[in-house]
Amino acid sequence: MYKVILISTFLSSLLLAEGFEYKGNIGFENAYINHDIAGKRDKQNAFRLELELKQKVDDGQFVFNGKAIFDKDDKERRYVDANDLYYKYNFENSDLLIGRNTRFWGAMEFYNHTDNFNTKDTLDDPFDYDSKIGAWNIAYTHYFDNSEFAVIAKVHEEKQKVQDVQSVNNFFPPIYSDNLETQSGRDRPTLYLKYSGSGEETQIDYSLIYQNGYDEQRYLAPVQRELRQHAYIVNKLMGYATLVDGETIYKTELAYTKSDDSKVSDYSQISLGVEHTLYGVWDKADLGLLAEYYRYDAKDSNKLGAKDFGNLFADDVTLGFRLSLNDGADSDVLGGIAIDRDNHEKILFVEYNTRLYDTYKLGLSYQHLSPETGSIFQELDRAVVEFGYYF
Amino acid sequence: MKKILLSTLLTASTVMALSNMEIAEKSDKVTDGFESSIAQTEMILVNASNQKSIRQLEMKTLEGEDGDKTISTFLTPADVKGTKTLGHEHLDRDDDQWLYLPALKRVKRIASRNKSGSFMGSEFSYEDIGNQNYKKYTYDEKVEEVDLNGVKCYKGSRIPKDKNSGYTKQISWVAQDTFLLQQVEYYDRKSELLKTATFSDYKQIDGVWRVGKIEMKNHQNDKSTILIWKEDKVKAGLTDKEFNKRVLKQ
Repeated sequence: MYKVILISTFLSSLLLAEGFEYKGNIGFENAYINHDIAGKRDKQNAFRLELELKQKVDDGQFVFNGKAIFDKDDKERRYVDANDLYYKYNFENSDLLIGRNTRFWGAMEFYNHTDNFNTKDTLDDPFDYDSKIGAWNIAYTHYFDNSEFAVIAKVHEEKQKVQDVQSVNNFFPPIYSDNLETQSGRDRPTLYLKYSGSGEETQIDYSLIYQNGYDEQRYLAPVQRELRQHAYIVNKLMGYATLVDGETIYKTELAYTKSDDSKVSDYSQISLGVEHTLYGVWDKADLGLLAEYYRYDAKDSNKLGAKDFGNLFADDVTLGFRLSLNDGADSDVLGGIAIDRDNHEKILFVEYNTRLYDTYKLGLSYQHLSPETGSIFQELDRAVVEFGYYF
Repeated sequence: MKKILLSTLLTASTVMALSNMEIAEKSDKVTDGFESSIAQTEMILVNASNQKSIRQLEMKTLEGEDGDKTISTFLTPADVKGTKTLGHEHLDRDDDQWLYLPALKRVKRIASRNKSGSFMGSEFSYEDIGNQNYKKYTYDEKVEEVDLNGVKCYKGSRIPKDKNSGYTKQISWVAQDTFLLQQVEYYDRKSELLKTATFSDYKQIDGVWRVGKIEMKNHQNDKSTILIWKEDKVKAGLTDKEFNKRVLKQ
């Protein structure tokens, strides 16, 4: 209820003000899922609304960015949330942000293990790693000529809700509860120190991050008659970089995590990626070829590791392509194969996005999950149609 | 006496005649000196069936000795509203380019070698939109004096130095009185005529000549794009700070 009051108050204040910016979209998604998993639905239909409002006030800016989802069948997946609800004041060489927001950290295209500031919105889509829950935080960033330094304090840990038990996107037993257990309370701040820069002569961007506080991944353990997520404290050092050399982009993400929880192993993560673009392969179309590798290594095999956290990127390769048609509708096709060497499955995927009549967007996608012996998944085909009106 | 007069006239004529490169330099200079600019532009994409599609973007530019800095913000279509590109141009190496995707809040460094790629799905390529510094070309010695739609022009040929250019040759028409560019023909890598750009609606703003409209006609696919400057402010007081990666997220 507090969310509704907070959002309503904020929206009312914006509507009364002059000269604010807005944008958004409203649309639907229809997914058809072919599977033999007992008790799971074979479709997922939902309406979506996304709305962003910005209001400049002197050297500052109020930002609201919210989404509403109404799933036809899944009652859990009917919700309204504000990913962004913050005020940012711009000083001469720095800025101060107070409120709730999402951030992106990383260099890879398909999966970013350094993108761990926000809790993922698994209620929306557990396989869309860009779908996140806003985090309450205070952030001060100082800007230099070619670099920046940020001190960020996240002040609250968000719960992670999941889709209902009939959804193929719910992998938890029915006793799962979104009540969150924490090592030192949900309001224990998580501190991030982040330094980012760009090369003067070389086309390189890089970031280094130190984190002290709650890890993004959480383990499951029973509490009373419920299965709950447990958030634990870590010291983490992360880095990511992008280097452009001609038509080729090299990418990497690295992280080392020292756990403060005796049940969780210290672990390291590494991602390596390369993207090469062939321009004008057909008319104005460009073809990007992508290859990425992700690895997660637990230092103590007797403690909790990647599988215990449901981390699917322990030893994975993704090979893909992006065909940008460069037409008036900005049409593109993204496709490829993700090979999970650790969990023994392959996922074939292809998606097509285009714009219609300047204000509508159409997205078509298809996935085929092909598990091998030893996989935790079952065979599944998924075809999705998304259509939206943008304003 | 006749010989002396003829000789004097020939000498004067040689001194007065401008080389192709000098014409290009003068043409470049008449549009220089804007220091920084903020422009609201409209891009009309016309397909072979004459169907139109409109894009709007704000373009900020900072003039620089070694290349301009630009930041473009997409205002329409609505699904890409807020998408920004930041470019730092260099004459001696690949440009620096970043793309900001607002839906993901992601700043991506992107490859800038794609000179011939389409800009926003239009008939303009990235190199057409970028700074047209005269030092980027080598010039044919031959200069013709021709009439183009009633305007007396210098017609000359130039070749891009950049090996990643999508063109093997460009032929330009420059007005003799103002040195303003009137038309350019672009020849593709097969040396066939690809596009013609027509420059019009020039106006002087704060003493600087600014183009008001460019129509780019693609002869190979019958599509065209019209780029119109709806508002244009020069000497806008922008500094390096407005072209830092920081502004992408604002």
